[in-house]
Amino acid sequence: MNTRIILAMIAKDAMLYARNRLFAFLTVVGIAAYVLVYLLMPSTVDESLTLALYAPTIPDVLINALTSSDITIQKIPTEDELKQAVIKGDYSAGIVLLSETITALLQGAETTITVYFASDAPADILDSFRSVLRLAFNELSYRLRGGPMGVVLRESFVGPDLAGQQITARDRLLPLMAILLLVMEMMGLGTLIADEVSKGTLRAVLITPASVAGVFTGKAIFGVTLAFIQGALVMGLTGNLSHEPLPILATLLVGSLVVTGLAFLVASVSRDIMGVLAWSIAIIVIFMIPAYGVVFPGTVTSWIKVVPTYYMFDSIHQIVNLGGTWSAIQTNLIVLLLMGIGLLAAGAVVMERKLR
Amino acid sequence: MTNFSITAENLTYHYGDLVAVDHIDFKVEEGEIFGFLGPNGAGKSTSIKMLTGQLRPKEGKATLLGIDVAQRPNRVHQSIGVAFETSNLYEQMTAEENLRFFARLFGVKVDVKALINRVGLENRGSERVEGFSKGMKQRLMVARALVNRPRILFLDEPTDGLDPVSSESIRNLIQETRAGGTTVFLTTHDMFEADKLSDRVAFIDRGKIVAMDKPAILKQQYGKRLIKVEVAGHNGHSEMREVRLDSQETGIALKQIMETEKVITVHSEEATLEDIFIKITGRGLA
Repeated sequence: MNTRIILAMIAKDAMLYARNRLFAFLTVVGIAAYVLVYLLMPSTVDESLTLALYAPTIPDVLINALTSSDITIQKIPTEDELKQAVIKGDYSAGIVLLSETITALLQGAETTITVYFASDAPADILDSFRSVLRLAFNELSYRLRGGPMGVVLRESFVGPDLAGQQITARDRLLPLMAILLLVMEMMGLGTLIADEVSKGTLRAVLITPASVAGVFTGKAIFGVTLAFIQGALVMGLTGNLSHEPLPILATLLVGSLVVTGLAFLVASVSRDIMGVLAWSIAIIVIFMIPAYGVVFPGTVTSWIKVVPTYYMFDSIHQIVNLGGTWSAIQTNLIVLLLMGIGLLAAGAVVMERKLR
Repeated sequence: MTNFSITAENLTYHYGDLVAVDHIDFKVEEGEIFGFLGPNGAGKSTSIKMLTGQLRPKEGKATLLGIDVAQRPNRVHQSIGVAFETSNLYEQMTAEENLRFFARLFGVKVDVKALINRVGLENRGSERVEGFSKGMKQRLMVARALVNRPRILFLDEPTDGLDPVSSESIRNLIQETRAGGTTVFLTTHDMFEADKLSDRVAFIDRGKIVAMDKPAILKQQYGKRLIKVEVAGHNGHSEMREVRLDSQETGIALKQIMETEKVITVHSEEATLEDIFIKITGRGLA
């Protein structure tokens, strides 16, 4: 081996890489994007638990006693609203302190307190709450009567009944796989368009009576149909179209619209297949983040809602894994539809500018 | 009254500060083969792009069959065929599939097999284009440009880089097409080809048309016709004598050579379009 030749080769490749504006740009963008994502994500583990409290009459002494560095309390007007807030995930848990319970607590008598948890709350959240609440009431009990607590915590789970139907790993991965297929379609369609531009076939087509709008409409329909069929096939073949098939198909359809719009954008900024691949991989990394919220509950926070795929993952997860219906996903579908139309329009405009 | 298929008025295009086509004017009659000649980078392809609606002129107007190209490109596209300089066929599709696809875009029914045979690709129609040679691809591109039976056919360097057989086959096709009444707009830097095919030619150099007429008239105007006589020299080598035609002294000069020298060969010679181009522009076509 000739070291001189090897070093010359390395130097040459480094120079060529740096002179490839696409990869140089993507390298800089990639570093910046991943650093930004890292900085945007919470830098500490959130150890404080937020507790919803329904207590029509509660003395401040009790609220102060329950509040600590580990637990934040938010009062809710009615017990029903408290349950809904817990189901929606606004609070990790909720407790109800009725007047007679408070009286019993203040008198040091034994009493039972209802604690509401969401049925899909992860086990580690449940354990944390159990410990923290026991500790808080114990401390309160010592403060009020100088002895251990006489409080029994009665746990009540609200939301879809998941007893005996825990979500398996494959079901948690299902939304990921279905959406991944759609995203792969983005790469396929993006490649197809970029290839047509780079090889000049699109130029030949546009010199016939075919208009730019007509060509894009054709490609959009093709892209949406192809992505939709693939997603629907996966859901059907895995037996997940038996329950509420229409909401699932609707999710896949608007999801296909989103990825087709992205394919247009990717193709318009890529000169060739390598460009499409490079851009697509950068997008896929971001698009997969919401999936972690399904696969590993409690690991992601609300900022992931800016990623379009969140609404696809969440919709499929709600229906397939949590037994949801149209009402559970209608907001998701509206957001997805608006994103899809916006991305498609933006992609078509950028592409037309590139061609003209 | 003469019918013009193509009219360019003050046609101009620039890429940033670089003027590619600089206020050119010309008209092409119906059924004419019009050669648009110039070296690489002279503005031929940019002109063809403006004429076919691929580029919107920065100034001026192009009219095809009486229709403003920039205003109604789709209407114009219905009546024209374009064979591009470089192959832009769908390589993963067969020759027949390529033609059928474009026939569908034009909304016409066409006997694809007959068209393929016409360009000399018999028995190759069901093969994928990716396996074709450059000449075969070029012939298929011409076939594609003919799929809608165009009234105007644009050919951008149709024989560039082809072997003599493929080139001749395409030239025959161009002449056949014109015989059917189609106007042919041919851009090339091959002066031999232009001379052989064109009814009229225009020379374009640095974006400007520097000469335009029938090839014979240009030769008469810019070239000189000679008779070259090879005679035996005194030292055993042959020597060349030149007698200019179209002169009052031609007959006398020729008679003198014949009577006083030992003539080996006699050839007539006229200027080529390339000679004329060099004479006008001061540079070659390469």
